[in-house]
Amino acid sequence: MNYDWNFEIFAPYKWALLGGLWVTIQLTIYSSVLGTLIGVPLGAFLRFKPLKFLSLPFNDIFRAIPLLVLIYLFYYFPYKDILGISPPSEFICALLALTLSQAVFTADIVRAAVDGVSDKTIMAAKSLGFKDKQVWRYVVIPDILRQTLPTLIAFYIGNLKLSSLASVIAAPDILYVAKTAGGQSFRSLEAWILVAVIYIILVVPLSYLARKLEQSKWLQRRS
Amino acid sequence: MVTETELNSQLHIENFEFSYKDIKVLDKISLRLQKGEVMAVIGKSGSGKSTLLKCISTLLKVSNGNAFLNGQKFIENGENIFEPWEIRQRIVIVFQEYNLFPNFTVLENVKIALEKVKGIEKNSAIHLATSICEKLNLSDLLKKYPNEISGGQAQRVALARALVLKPQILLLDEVTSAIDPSTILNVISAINELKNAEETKYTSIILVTHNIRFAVDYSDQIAFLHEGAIHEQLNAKEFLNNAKSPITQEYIRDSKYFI
Repeated sequence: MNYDWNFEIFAPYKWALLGGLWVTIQLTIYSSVLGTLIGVPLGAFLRFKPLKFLSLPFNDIFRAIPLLVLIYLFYYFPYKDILGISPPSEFICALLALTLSQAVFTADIVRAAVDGVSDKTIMAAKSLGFKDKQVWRYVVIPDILRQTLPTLIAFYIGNLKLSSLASVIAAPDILYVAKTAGGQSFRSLEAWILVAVIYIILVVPLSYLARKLEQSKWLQRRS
Repeated sequence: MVTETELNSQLHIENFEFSYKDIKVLDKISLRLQKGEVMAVIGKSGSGKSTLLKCISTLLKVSNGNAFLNGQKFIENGENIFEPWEIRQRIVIVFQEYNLFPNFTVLENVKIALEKVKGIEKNSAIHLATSICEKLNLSDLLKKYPNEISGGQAQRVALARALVLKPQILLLDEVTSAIDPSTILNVISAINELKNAEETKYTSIILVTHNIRFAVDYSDQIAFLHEGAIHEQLNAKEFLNNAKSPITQEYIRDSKYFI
């Protein structure tokens, strides 16, 4: 009980910490949005028969690589030698890895959801005179959304936590800034507690909202 | 040139052919259905009955043949003349396994095509859907989801969903075979109701069944399908006693065990 807690040492780092928090939020939002935008058409593409045998293993390979490894790969990639461009910032490297990870997982979820839409339901809609476009709009897409949304939201929350891996390449996210501040003031335990508290404040309300959404009547109408 | 008989019949199909993986499923099938008439198509499993209904509703594309609705050709030499969805608004099929939309309530199942296909305004669609559900004894189930109702009830919802569109032709594909015998009567009474109701009495029906008693009692004509071709076609009242072909007679004999 004699440990001398000292959180005041972080006061001078206030703005740096807020900047780190903003980087974390940006990494999460950008990678979630971009990953979904890329993953949805990719998921449809995975069902495209002539290329299915190629694209599916390709997707599996990317899903198999741990995110930390992806971050390092994007960081150490010889951009200048191979692509003739100057290396992107640490932030962009982390963003690329997070986006790729979100995209391949989204693609797999969407592929499974499209497969999950019953042929009978589609046949029923057609039999009532729905045009092909209407079958998609009123039957197929809502069904895919209902099937994928809860998992996607869990992934978005996961992205928030996984974005902390960006710190390994010195992308200035909240974890990196807090760790640096803790190191400089020899208060590492306080720094990690601070990071934990910030993540709890960010994640718990989101998890609560996700659970509320999952319980919504609209989502519960899954087939 | 449309002949007079074609004009008088509500549905006329001519030499329908359909093959699946080089196997001929329908072989030169021709049928003629008058306004308000009920035709039963019977035959063993795999004789092509359900395929025939799917071809008539353009859910499957015939390889050859013509089809007319009120004298208007809609399939010519196997090709659809109109968009398939235009035909399916007039010729509606009810499936053996109901195929209700699992994400929609009973009321939504019945009203969705009114709103989205027929373009009827929401409140009118609700009114029309509610009143057809009332007639089919579904009033207590309007807010239930398909997984919360019984097979017989689901089949009546499927009937309501088709009838609310006021189709000219109603195709019933084995509507009594996926439900238990005690609820069959429930569905049959719904069909009876339809035959007697003012707004639907001119709807012609083709019902596919392997329940011969159902066919005899509820249809005007019976066509016996065998190996993808119409083997014999008779007035329903004469069918049991006057069938000429030995194959039809054998089918009737075998079916009598189940009557």
